Amino acid sequence: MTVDEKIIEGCISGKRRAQNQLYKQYAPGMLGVCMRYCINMAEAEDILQEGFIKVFKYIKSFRKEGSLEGWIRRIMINTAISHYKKNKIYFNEINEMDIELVEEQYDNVSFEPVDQEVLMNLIQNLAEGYRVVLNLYVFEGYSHKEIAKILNISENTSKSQLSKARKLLRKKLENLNKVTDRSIINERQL
Amino acid sequence: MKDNYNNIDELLRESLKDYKKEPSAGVWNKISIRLLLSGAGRYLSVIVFLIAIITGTFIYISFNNTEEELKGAISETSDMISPEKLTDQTPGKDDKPNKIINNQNHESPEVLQEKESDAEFSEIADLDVINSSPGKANGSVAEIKDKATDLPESQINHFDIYPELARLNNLEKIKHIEISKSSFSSLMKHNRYIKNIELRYDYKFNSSVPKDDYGRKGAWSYGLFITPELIFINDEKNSKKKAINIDITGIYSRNDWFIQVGAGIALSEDNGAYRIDYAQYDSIGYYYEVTSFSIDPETGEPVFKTTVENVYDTVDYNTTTSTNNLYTYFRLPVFVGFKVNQYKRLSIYLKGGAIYSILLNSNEPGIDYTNEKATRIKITDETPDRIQSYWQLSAAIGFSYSLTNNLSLSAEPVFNYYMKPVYEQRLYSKSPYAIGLRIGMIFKF
Repeated sequence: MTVDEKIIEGCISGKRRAQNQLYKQYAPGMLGVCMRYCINMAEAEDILQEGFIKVFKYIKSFRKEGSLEGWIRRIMINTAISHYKKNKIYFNEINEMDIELVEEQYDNVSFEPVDQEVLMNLIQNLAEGYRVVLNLYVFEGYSHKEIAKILNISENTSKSQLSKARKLLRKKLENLNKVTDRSIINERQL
Repeated sequence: MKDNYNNIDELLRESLKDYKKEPSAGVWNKISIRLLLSGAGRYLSVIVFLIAIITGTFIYISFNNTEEELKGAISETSDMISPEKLTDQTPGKDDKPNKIINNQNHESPEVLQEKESDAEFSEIADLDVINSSPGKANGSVAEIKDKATDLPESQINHFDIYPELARLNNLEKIKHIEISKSSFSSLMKHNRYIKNIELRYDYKFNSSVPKDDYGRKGAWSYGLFITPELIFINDEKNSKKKAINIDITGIYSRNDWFIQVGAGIALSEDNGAYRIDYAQYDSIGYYYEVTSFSIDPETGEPVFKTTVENVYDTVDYNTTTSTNNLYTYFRLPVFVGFKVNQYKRLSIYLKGGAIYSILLNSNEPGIDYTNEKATRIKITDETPDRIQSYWQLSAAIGFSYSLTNNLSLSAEPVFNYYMKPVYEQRLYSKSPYAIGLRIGMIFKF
């Protein structure tokens, strides 16, 4: 029996030590996930707490087909989304043509590495709607159709929110001098 | 991390995919408490329900019995207060009861006064006050007043001043009449007020069982207790651990019996065990390493430049270390007891019962290992898991000292026996036991 299986068995039996071990092993990574969805650390810890309560409550239903980390991660994401649904995120519908125009302007740029804390700070400063859509699309890999279904919005709204989020982040990265024109890079290489 | 990213999505994904942040310590504490409440909640609700049922039953029985006792007392006293008996109990009384004294015989004022006092007594006894229920006390006062108009003026005034004494007078006076008649009757004239004073004095300091002025046997009191105790683990090393308990208890007493129900917190210390595996580098020799060479122009021989390199052998070691852990339990004690003796303000009692404890919090700090000359391989936590709840059987002998009518101090050497070991794995076959001293204050409102 692997270490993970032992921990799962202990959690199913309700043993506090096993639950603590599971928490210690996955809490730091899951807090990182929650922080992307939240505005600050306190809110992220609340989501984390709620998420782990659900993990221990429903761990009996974990089928061991995928990884335990992936299963816990999905619970955290669902908890974060439920939290924001309760707070009622209002999305503005936008014209599809405007979205395409915005996307074109940034085809020829590249981005330099940025410190993790700086990036996290930039994401947390986004509006709630932008932040949730950005996370679901970029980090979780959902399509706009799936995001629309999860958040009960239209596909166009999902696309517009993502576009606006990217635009805002690029602007802030430009201010940090982390964005370079690719044509300039090509000239240097030549 | 790459030097640059083609798009912002790639930047975000690559930069933050391994992002981790340590949560604050309070997060796990909150999770732990919520898990405990959700798991033990049904047991707590059952226990609270049982406590409420037991308490309500005792209160109901106590309330009903109070009425019956009073009626019983009244009927007893009505038997005792029959005119014939009164005649017998009144020394020197020759006249029949219910007879208004007149002075047709031209007796002296002193004799007349004495006869009037005796007549008072018999007149009062003759009234149907005793046969009235307590609820009709006012009616019986009115009754007294009606009949008092037939009595001398002095008697009417006395009833007006002390209307309630009419009822109390007969109950308490009659109860103690057997006691007091020999002590006072020969010394003083029969005066109900002197008897009242005597009886009240006697009654007030008579009993340590909680009684109110109406003679009901049973009352509630509340205690606050602290119990330092020593736990004997019953292992091979005869380990001993310390604990301290704080309880708030409700006590219902009736006659010499009492029942205690409470709730509290227990703080129990224990040791954590950790095994540290590490590798230590022991030097077993050295060699010269050639870093460069040159040709001596004079001799034509190569000249080597060397440095000394030490050779180490890696040996695995392990050691064990312990930590101080603190466990917090929520306790629910239930006791039944009996007062075996009383001397003035000091009473001695025996009690026994059970205590149910639920683990609320485990404070296990853990360890870290650093050594300049060694490399840590791994640290294994060998602390045994604790069970979430357990039962204890408890017995105590108690000493209680009444400071006032409403405040007592108590001290109880107590013995607690754990129904099973507190560890998940059955490391030791014998269950632990604990010895402590429970001290506290008892309040009666």
